[in-house]
Amino acid sequence: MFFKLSFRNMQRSFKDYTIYFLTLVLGVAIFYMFNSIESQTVMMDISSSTREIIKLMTNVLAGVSVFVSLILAFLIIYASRFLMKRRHKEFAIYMTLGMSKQQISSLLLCETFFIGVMSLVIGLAIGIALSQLMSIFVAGMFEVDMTSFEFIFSYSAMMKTILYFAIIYVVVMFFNVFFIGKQSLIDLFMSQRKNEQIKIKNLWLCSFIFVVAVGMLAYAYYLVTAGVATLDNANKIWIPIALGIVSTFMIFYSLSGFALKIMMSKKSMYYKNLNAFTMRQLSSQMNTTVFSMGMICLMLFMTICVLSSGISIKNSMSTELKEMTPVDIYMYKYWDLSHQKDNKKTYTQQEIDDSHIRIDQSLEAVDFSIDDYFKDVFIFNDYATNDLTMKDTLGKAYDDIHQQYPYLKLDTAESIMKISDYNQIAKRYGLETYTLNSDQYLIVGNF
Amino acid sequence: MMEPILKIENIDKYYGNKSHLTKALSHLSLNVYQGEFVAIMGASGSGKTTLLNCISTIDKVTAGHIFVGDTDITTLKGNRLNRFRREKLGFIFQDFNLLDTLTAYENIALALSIQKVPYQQIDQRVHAMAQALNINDVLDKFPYQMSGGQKQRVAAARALISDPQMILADEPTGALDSHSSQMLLASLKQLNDKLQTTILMVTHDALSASYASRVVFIKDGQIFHEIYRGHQERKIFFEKIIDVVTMLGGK
Repeated sequence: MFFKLSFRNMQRSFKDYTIYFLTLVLGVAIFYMFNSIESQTVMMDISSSTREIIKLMTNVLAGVSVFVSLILAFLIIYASRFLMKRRHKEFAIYMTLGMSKQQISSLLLCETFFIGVMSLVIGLAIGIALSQLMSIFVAGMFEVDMTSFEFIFSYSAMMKTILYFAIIYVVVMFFNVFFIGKQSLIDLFMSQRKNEQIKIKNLWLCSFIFVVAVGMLAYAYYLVTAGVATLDNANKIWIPIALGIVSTFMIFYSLSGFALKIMMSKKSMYYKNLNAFTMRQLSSQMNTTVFSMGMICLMLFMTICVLSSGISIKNSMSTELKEMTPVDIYMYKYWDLSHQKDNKKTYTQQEIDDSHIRIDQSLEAVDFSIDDYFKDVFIFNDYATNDLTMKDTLGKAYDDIHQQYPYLKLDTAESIMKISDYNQIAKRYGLETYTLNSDQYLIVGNF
Repeated sequence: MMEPILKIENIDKYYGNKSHLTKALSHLSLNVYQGEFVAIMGASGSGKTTLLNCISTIDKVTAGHIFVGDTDITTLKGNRLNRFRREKLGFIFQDFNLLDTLTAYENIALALSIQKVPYQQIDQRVHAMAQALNINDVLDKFPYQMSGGQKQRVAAARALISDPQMILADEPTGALDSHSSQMLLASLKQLNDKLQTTILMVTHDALSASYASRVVFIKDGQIFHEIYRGHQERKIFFEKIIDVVTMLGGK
């Protein structure tokens, strides 16, 4: 009977709360797609540098997916609390029939479990289907040809999705059970009446808050657009972010009151047709949903930012990739390892011997002839001394740079090379070449 | 003299906080005996529903005691409270409070399932109860497919099926037309006579109250007056009730 009851409740939830169910399904699907990107690229014929980038991206995505799951958890808990509120009366009936709180809790557990499993299965199915499309998108993003279309299924992504959502559902169940345990019967019966309580706001205060909030938001936008030059410190970016968040909530809090005030000041408008009714309705609706509207607005904002900055980062990365890597292979090795004093590691005699010969000779020693496999090879030496570090080169600019990039190691030795070597490389990279007299030096930098 | 089944001893019920104190019930005492059909009447805000809520353990009293049999229900907690509700009480509400995901049959049966009664017994008892309340035809219907009167009779069946000591009804006829009301009350009265179940009914309708064997009038959280039907005709009893109601209203 209990099973039947919870099953029927679930059926009803399924029908009535389509949005909640869709949220769950979509959440699962997106989460799976997100985490399956890595295995999608396995099938593609891509260069190693691109693979590196994808690996980096996968790491970033793993971090982002934790964030996404947090947002989803928030959303799911919020939605389930909303649904619980609608069911107060039902719980009251169960209790008057003498059901214990444990029984009601287990009924709810059963329901949450059912819905959870169902949304997981459907969500995964949709996620797997959509991730096939995603792989085409990813291939396009990294400008690679898909060698062949293959059905991709990521076991690890699936397990991860199941794990994360299991955790979220457990949290939801915990919340529900906690909620049931806390409520008294009279509150459950009365809650419907309580919810309709209307908060009356001071219209003047609302107007004031609204004006202040609009000012704050405008200032925040000014800071990140026209006034971006003043944001010379990494910590200052939090000012417009905090301003933006606070003012968004303030606007939603005060908007209805402010609009009402404006409308009421023009009596002929306010009492025309159904305007009075419409405005009052609108403002009471907005009053009860201040928090969720603010959240939705901020989340949308974040999504747009992440999406657009993601695309622009991708674009700059791929153009940079083309500019920075005009050669196919770049190999390097250290000279004279026995002198690397600051390095605690001890080297074998063989390694030390190897560090006294040129790189093509070392490769020759392992039966790899550079000339057989590559054309247009250029070998050069790069010198370094602790007497000349980045700090020395920067000179007076050091303090500024250090403040701006506190994590940059500026006591690293600069690299020094012969002008003839530099010119050779510069030609390959399509950069300008220089001539120097015997007592001259040239500093090349991109800062 | 037999022991009362319900003994209310000097109960108080306050609402609100320090700045706003509403006295819903003050020093109210009342005894109800096995097999009585008591109607509680009073104007809005007189405390009649609060009284019923306190008896039904939906709400808690601020002071005083309520005994059902030998148990002081104001001190019941947790599983003993659930058990008390399950075995001793039956509820009928103004808005029926049926579970809309279950059919009439299932709604009635749920009260027994919670008590872990075996299925064969459930089936038998549900059908017997349906017969008594004349709802055989609607057993397979869902609440939204039934009329108000049918719903209330299903709710009554659910309340009566577990054979409780007391039925607590809060404005059971409040949402019904007069025909349905009379059918329901006649059925309740019949079951009250037959099964000797004690019924406590809150109502503001004198006609509904006239089915009871005793009517208690409440005013400002205190018992104002009570009248017994005895062996009078219902019509005469009804007129007596009207007289008291007029007196109450006219001050």
